[in-house]
Amino acid sequence: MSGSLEVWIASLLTLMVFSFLWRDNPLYKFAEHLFVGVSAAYFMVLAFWSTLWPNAVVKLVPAAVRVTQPGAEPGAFEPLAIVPVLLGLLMLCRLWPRLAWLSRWPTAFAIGTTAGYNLTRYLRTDFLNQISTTVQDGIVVQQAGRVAWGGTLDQILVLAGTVCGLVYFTYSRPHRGYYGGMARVGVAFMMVTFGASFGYAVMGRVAVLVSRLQELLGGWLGLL
Amino acid sequence: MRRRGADWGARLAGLDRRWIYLILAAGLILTLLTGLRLPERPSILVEPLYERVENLPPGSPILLSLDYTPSTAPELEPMAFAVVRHALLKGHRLCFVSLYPEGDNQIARVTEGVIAREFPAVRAGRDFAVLGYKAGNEMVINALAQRLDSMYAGDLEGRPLAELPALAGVHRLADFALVVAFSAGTPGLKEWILFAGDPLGLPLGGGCNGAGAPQFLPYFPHQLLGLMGGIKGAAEYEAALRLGHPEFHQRTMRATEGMGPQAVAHCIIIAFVLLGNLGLLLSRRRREDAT
Amino acid sequence: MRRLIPRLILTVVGVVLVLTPFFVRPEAGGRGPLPVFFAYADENFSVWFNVLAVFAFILGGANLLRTHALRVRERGRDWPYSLLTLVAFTAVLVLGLFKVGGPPGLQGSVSHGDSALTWIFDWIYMPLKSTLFALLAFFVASAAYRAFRLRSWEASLLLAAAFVVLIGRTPFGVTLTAWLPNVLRFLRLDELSIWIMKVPNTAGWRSILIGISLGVVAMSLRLILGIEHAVLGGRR
Repeated sequence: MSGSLEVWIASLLTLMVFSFLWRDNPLYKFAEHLFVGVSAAYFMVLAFWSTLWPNAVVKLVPAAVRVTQPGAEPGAFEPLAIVPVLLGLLMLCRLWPRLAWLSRWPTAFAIGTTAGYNLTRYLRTDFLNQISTTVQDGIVVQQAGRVAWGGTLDQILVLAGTVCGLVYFTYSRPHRGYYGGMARVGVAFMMVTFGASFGYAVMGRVAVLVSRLQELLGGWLGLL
Repeated sequence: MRRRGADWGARLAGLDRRWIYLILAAGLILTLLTGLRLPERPSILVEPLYERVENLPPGSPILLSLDYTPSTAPELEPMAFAVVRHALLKGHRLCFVSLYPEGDNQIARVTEGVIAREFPAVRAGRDFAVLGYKAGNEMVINALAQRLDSMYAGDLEGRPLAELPALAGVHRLADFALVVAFSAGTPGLKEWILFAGDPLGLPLGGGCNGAGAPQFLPYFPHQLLGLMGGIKGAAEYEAALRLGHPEFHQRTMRATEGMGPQAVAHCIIIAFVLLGNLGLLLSRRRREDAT
Repeated sequence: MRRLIPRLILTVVGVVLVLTPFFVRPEAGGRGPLPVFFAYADENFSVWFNVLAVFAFILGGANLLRTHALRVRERGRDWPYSLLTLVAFTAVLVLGLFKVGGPPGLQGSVSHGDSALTWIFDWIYMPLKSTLFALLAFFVASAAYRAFRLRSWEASLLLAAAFVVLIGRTPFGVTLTAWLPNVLRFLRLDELSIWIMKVPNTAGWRSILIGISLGVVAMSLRLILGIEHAVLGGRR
């Protein structure tokens, strides 16, 4: 068994969270609320020192660089760095109901930035390039000058599955007749997709559980 | 006989979930205590990434983005460890960034757990640079695509980028020979593909958690040259590293060790699904008998 | 006015960034006032967004403080736990902002190996976050037992694919079907699981990605053109 105080603290906190599996209880609530407080402050601290300090404070007050690096030479003053700071302060106005309407300005900037970038990125990467990837390798796969029937069948299936999946997602036309048949094929591909996703999701969840059990059994109890 | 079957159907339908928890936990604990270890081999999804790292000219700059949290570190940390080992073995220069607040600490675990222990001659600043976390999600990637110094004035210790030999000749993302993003959500590998890999034509490899792996298959191999999916992907990269560099046989086993309990857990869950359906079948027969 | 200015900001920023890829083309040399303006916007809007994100964290933290402080003051339900949250939040904030435990003063990285923040990350934050996530493994097992029913051909197909992937992506999958001859190697569970990922899964996710991309483009256009009012507090 480990003699380290830190290992005991980590292990006891782990067991407190696992106690929820029996039922909700004060130990679990203690761990949960401790986590909420610690994580919120942790995010704020990291965000401040990693981004706000070097990209806003130091750019507006170059001499401030000596606070964290005593021998450093101050850089150039960048007046436009005040823009995001002002927008950020407007965002904090959300805390006061009378001034909350001011927070729409930075929200609008954030949404405009995201919408502007995403429109072109998604159109290029997830629309145009996904379509070109589906067709650019061709349908017939050749290896060493001969047709590879397995690869060719796979290409046909990928093309057919993609088209049928898109047909299924198009609800503006009733799924009847040939169109309905294609939609049903699309459903079949979706079911296999979701089954594969479920399998991988289980794998991911179990991996974390295995890791915690390894810490408890090995790091704490010394059984591994 | 039918009546007994019907009773079992009701029992199975009403099984307390805590029995399920107990059986799953017991299965995993027993497997861990027995130390079950099963062989692995690399798949066609992982091999291209391994080959790229293996065949890059020595001294090539590689960007590693550690975009995961402690909740997904069990899957992604072994991948990061394995890729870092491989890259340093081949003499490549590394640059660590992160889009998650936890990134600084996750990077420290890699630098202390792998570099400091296994490559004592490798120096921070000269052979690898730790730039760390920046807030802003995918906008950080977009800013780095223009200029590294638009977001980073220096590394985590405050050394200016221009004074880091590890980043000699690197001024923007396109100057890296390879980018590998280890990601477990948003922002992550998807954003790296959208904002860097695809628009800039960057060689981009990825590692992701299990739950996210299926969605990246459409990007392979044209927009994503290799993909390590979940702990299985990590184990496959470790296997590739052991095959190519047998001197790492003992050190590259972390994900592989987890695959034994993983396999047992999967079997238990499949058994529960089948058991649940057996209960449904028995209940249906009871209803048919009643009518 | 209260809605007009935000809508103008959104539209102008959105239009500038949509036009940027068409003006900022390295192969064209990037000279001239328009390419310079768009390159400046492309780079700096990202940086401004990142700084704004920090204020979002600060807003979240302030909101958390206010909610829990109110609960403590009014002795609301579970108020002792709210007090714990406040104490933990304040302690980590002070330890982190003043870089306690690291190099002297405010020098060095906030996540320095010797810092109090790193200790908290390694021994409190990491175990709690990992274990909270690990609970999901139990819940997935319980949900699979209760919800996965073979009531239809679609459910059967989903389960069959899930079983192949669950077994095929583990070493058991290799062992169980390694005996199959080469002519039937496509039926080996490990190869079958890879095939499922590479063919039907790729086809399914590709159609999902294409559909989502069209949705993103449509929504982005609606936002930039001012058709979508709800996001800035307007009526639909």
